[in-house]
Amino acid sequence: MGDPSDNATHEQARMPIGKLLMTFLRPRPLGVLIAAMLLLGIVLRVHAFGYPDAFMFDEHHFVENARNYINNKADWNDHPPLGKLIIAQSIEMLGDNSVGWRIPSLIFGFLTIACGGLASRRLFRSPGAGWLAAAFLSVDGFLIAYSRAALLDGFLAAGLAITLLISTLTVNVWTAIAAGALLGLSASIKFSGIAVALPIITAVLLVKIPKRKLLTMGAIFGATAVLCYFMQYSRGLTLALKSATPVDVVRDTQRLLDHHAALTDMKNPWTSGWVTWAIPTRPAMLSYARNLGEVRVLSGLGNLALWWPGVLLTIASIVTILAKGVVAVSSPNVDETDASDSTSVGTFVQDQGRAVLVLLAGCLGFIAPWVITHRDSYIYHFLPAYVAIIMLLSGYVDWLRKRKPVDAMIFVGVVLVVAAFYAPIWSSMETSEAAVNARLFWGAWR
Amino acid sequence: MSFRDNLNPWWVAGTAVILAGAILAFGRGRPAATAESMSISITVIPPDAVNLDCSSGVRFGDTQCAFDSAGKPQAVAKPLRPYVTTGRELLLLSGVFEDPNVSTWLQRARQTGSDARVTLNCDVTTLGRLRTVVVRWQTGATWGQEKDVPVAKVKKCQVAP
Repeated sequence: MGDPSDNATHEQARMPIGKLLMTFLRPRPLGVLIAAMLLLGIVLRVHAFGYPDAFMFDEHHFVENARNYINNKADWNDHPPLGKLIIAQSIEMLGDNSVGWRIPSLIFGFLTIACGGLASRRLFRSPGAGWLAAAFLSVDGFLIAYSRAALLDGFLAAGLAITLLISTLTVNVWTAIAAGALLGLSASIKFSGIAVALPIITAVLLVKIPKRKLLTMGAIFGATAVLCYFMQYSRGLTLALKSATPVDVVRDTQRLLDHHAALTDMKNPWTSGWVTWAIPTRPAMLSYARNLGEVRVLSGLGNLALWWPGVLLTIASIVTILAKGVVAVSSPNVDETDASDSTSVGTFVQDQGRAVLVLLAGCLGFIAPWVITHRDSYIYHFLPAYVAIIMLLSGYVDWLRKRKPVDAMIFVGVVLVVAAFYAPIWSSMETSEAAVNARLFWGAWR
Repeated sequence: MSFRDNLNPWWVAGTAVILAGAILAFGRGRPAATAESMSISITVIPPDAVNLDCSSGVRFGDTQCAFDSAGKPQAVAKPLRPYVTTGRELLLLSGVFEDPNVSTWLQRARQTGSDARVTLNCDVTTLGRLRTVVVRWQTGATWGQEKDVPVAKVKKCQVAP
């Protein structure tokens, strides 16, 4: 969370929105690229949004159980209720159709872009980092696909983006309540949502606040999280016409945890080990419909111009921190901070230590459950971590921009061109099989 | 100073935007156009020759469904019928059971009383697409509505051994 002594350096990041917008609207080459990416991201999310009008990928798990909650029937899915309750609310408001099932994912997808952008702006203390994060999050296929499907992982991605934004605010009662609520709600969607606690804890530990205040805020944070989790879970049990006391919530939670602990055979064809996510070897194919020379595909393959550099930057940042030490990175001695034109990751980490540590905490928190257990893992478990990776990359590109502006511009341009190339398979456009194969050129991606 | 350092940022941005726009406009891959030829594989059983039907008022050249949009029979030499490809795609085809090879196979199957399912590899010409059409898979069964179904005409078929 923000250190009050950082106020002066936050000045630019706290520029009034109107003034900031006017500054941004002055035609600049990077602004044009960012605007194009934001526009493309919106179009790709809403194009043929209701297609297909039947379930795709794992939607049946969540939509069928959303219907069960509406009809006061038992939930047979193995995740806590909140994600399905959100879909149920949407079905009640918009109807039981493909648009009604998927609108929450679209809204959370836009929230991820907005909050990820704002969080990056504040973490890196640079409006440029914020705009770049929003643009990068906007044109990534992994995030686009999950904005178009009634699945739960996009909700968690938004949860992390909001948490990262809260982590930049001053520590007080309200931010402790907000962060606790987000933790409770994220864990009520999937248990892995508990990982949003890590960037918050990291951010708080990096700020020097009195021990007594730290304990008080920690207690408020924890109590709010537990309260939100129990409230959401008991709401689900009540709708399923089951006993919903706190003891029942604990028992049902334990039942689901035991179930998950036993899922370790990795036999589902969609499973992929966490190490392979760096490539990735098994991106989710959410929908693939062939129709006499016409193919419509919704692939969860990310923007490779973001994916590979983002993963490499993350690994390089971790190596740098391990080499230099967390303390040296989080509170750099002014003499040690390299003010040269170096564009090395080491210098970036040294310059932006706090932001890098908070983002890595968000990323590693969501990967950790699959590293430390043998639970079956799928690429979509990586989605929230990937949001943090893209934000880290945006911070680096913005930092690079101040040293080598043309190099940064070329990189951003490549991201836009790759997004345009993959657009047909990120938004179920009518295309040909040859065009799909050219994009998903590795057989394992199809 | 390297070449990159001399690049005008506007050139970089402009090139990226134009390239992205061109890829979106011309490079996204086109689905098959009307009158395009292609090969498909469908599976059939002998009773399909009398059981498969569709109902629609739309005409494609000299062919249409054997029933109009009100469900009344209409005279068509080679009516459209619904089939499913080996890739589980629904489509309407004209001339499958009228093809000489398929006709010969059907005659033999009827003589031997075989109901075995076979795969037909057909060359077809696309005729277009029906936004909505009702189909049935058995005579006398209820009609079911299907959306966005491609329509094609058989040029020739081979019965897979």
